[in-house]
Amino acid sequence: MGQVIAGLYEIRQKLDSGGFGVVYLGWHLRLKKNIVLKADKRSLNIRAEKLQREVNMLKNLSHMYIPQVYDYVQENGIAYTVMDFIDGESLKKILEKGKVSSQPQVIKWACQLLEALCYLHSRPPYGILHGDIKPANIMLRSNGDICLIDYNIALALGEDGAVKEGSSRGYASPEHYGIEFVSEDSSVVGGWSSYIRGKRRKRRGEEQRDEEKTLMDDAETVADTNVSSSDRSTTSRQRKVVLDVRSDIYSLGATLYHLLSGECPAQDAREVEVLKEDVCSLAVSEIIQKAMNPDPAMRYQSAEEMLKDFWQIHKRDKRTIRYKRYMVAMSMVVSVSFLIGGSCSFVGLKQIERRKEALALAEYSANALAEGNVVGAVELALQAIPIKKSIFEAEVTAEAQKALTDALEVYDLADGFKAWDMIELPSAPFKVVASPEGSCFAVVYAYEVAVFRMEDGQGIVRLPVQNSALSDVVFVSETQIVYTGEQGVTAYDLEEKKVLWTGEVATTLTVSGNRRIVAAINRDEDHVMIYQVSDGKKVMERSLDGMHLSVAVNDTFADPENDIFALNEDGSILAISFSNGGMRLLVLENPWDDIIILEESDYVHFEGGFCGKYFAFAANKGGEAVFQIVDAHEAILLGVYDSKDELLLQADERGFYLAEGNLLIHFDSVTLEQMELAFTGSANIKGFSVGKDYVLVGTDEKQFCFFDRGAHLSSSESCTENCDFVVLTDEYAVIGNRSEPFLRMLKLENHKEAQLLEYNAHYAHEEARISQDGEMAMLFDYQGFCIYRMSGELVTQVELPDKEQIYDQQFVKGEGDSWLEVIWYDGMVRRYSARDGGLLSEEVGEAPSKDLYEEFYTSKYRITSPLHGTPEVYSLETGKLVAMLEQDSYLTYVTEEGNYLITEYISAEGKRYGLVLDEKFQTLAYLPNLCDVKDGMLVFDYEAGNLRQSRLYSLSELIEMGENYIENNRRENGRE
Amino acid sequence: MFGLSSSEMLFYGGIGMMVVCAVLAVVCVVLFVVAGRKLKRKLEEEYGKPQR
Repeated sequence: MGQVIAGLYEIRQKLDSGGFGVVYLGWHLRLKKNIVLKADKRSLNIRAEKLQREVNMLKNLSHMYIPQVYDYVQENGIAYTVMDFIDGESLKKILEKGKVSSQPQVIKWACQLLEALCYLHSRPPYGILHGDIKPANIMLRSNGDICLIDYNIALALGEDGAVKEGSSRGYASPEHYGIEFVSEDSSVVGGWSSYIRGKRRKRRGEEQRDEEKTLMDDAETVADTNVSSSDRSTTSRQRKVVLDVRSDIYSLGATLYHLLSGECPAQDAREVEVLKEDVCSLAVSEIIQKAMNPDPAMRYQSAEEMLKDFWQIHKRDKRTIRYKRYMVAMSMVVSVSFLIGGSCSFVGLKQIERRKEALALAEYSANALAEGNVVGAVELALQAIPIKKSIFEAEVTAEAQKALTDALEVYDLADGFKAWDMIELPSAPFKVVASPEGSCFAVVYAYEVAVFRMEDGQGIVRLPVQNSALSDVVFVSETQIVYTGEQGVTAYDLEEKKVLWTGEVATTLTVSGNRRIVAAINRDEDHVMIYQVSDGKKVMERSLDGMHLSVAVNDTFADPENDIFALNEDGSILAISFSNGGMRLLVLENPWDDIIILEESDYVHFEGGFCGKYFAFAANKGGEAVFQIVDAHEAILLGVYDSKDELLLQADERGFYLAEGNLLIHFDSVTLEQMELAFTGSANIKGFSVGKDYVLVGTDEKQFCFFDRGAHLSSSESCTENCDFVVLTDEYAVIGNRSEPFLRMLKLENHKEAQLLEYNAHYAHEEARISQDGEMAMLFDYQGFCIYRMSGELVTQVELPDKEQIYDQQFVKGEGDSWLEVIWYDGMVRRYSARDGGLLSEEVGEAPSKDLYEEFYTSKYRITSPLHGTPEVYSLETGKLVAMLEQDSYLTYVTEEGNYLITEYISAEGKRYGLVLDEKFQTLAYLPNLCDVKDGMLVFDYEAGNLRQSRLYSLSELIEMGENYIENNRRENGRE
Repeated sequence: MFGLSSSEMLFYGGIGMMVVCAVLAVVCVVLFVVAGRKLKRKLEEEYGKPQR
């Protein structure tokens, strides 16, 4: 048995010895395990209390990579520190064997050592320095982990750091040698050192300085060093310095350096060569370089800091950084692109939705216009055009622009009645009647009579009437009406808005031609009341001897216009038809003079009235009708006319108006001479109203048409129902039906300001063109042509020879001159001057093809126009078909105006019109009666003998016009 | 172009762009996963497994 220390530890083997003392392998007699006994050489020189204090502190250490200190004993004047025996091999021995450790292994050991150092440096109160970290003091356990051993110079750090105890050459930091390196570029120059120095000056006593000196002397491995270099980046001062954690970091760096390179680093910190990439990775080399920086301030300031760098060595690697940068960059690119795509898609979707809304609004606008609701049509068209441009707004659709153009009718320069306003009623009307001079009109509906002003559609008054569809109203003057009021026949002043007088209850009224006498009858009663208009005095009550008007039992839906109930001019004769089909002219003053026209008949519908001394009526029954004219004064039947068509008849001071099927005829009031007023073709006339210059006709094809005094169709429009009520005055027209609760109002418009030329309206022609110099207008067709000066003077009228053999005509605008080129089937081509109609040339060429085929060229397109086929547009650049134009019309001309194409057509019905097309060949505007385009001006040819012109309006102008229209309309109607 | 209005081009172009981005994202993920694994293997060879 070897020497037993303190009766507990048996010394078995000497392991190592040095300046610090001797290390023995011992045996713990009680625990039966190997231990290490370290005989501290310092025990000879320093006080036992100090050693005891140090060992007590070490005893409290417990860390995976640090051996456990168990005990401290003194035996024979030698202090022994008892600690764990580490079964393994020191790294020094491994190095001595020439083994160079792999980098991953060194990194692993470095982390373990740093963890141990973190533990030591963080021990309270001020941490513990190892002080001598080197390969010899690092044991490699059998499990591959390391253990930091040998605390021979480990010292507790005081508030001011620790004094130098000893060092190992190459591993010891410059501070161990008392050298203080300060980097010139160090931002923390004087940091640790100056701090320590300052403190020491203040607190260190003489005693401690003596102790330091002793310790310095004890250190075997310290070499005297006197380094001074002014040409290096660090300057050195040799003086006594205290150690801190950065010394351990230096030593650890040096140890790692040795482990990696296999060479012990130079003793002078400044001469340590940087590890090259063939030795270790750049990242590791940088960590070691920083750990071994001569200037402590430039080193890691703590083990944690260095450990963190090792932990993050993967992340700090340039390849990892580059990889992450690529990843972030790609993520950003993809994400941003995705977001941009999403945004584009969202915006596009919104725009498509808005576009659909705009298309629907444009369609509603067209419907509103067809119903005569111009204000609504303009409002809807404006809504279809986005005014406040936002990113979500789609481009203005061609349909919306066309809807606005149509609603404003800017290119319809024909004089005539144009849709103007719409009046909504509480219910469908029973009767509509205009005032004598046309300044207002009255409408009867359930169960009121309302009077509206024509000029602004504004209501004047609404008055209750009898609860019967037979309820009636008549104008006795421009400002007075007589109506079948709730209390009885009532006269009302529209200006003063007061009742003038009231009579007995009645449902049907009539007023004499001179507006002085009113006759009234109540439903199916058999007596007629005659009132004086001026004061409401009942001047007469005439019995009908048991006969009465044909009134249904329930007259809620009865037709008030089914019977004749009419007074003559002076109110002396009353024409009345009865429910039994009879009809009489009652001479009010003398019943014995009554004229019985029909005693009794099976006619069910009567119409008629007086004109001067004549009385005319039309009586209808299923598929049969009769028309008769009677001299009421002489009681002579002047004429009878039977018809298979329904007959409609009206009378006024100008004569009688008889509609039979599709024909409306006027009988002169004096001569009874007949004159055609209107012809409606395939449609039958269902109602008409004759004004001063126009005739308004409603047909059974849900149309109403205006004819001028020459019986020319001026205009026609469609409506949703047949027009039961058509009322025409000089400037206004009112149209309604028994099904819909509104009335359409139309206003006569003329466009004299757009007049270009007035010519003889009787000259039949198909085309009209303006000469190149703008001084002449040529009207022509296959029969011939005539030329007008723009002043209106007829220059010449020419008939073309061999008309039946004409193949085609072209009006050519050459430089300075224009001519009409006429081509015959035999190849003859004649050119007629547009200036005087003279023959310019005559030549015979090749006979043209039988098929009329034309081509038009614009700057970008070639447009073909076959006689029987759809015009096609080809790109001049690619030759490809890019669009098809109007299907059922013949394209006659194409004009390019800026970005627009103006195409001119003749429809299958022979109607001329033009279209304004945008770049996508979408229709922006319909140009009725377009005949030419001259210097950017659109020229329109109207049958009334007018050439009128208009410029092409831009979208912004149309919008402005639309807004002004709405604004004016609101102002006029006081709707704001 | 292609008979589409600008709104439709914006809408369909946006959708196309999103689809391309999604495909690109998948490709990138695959590429980065592969490259990441390769890099991780290299780094582990060089530095050992991450210590933390």
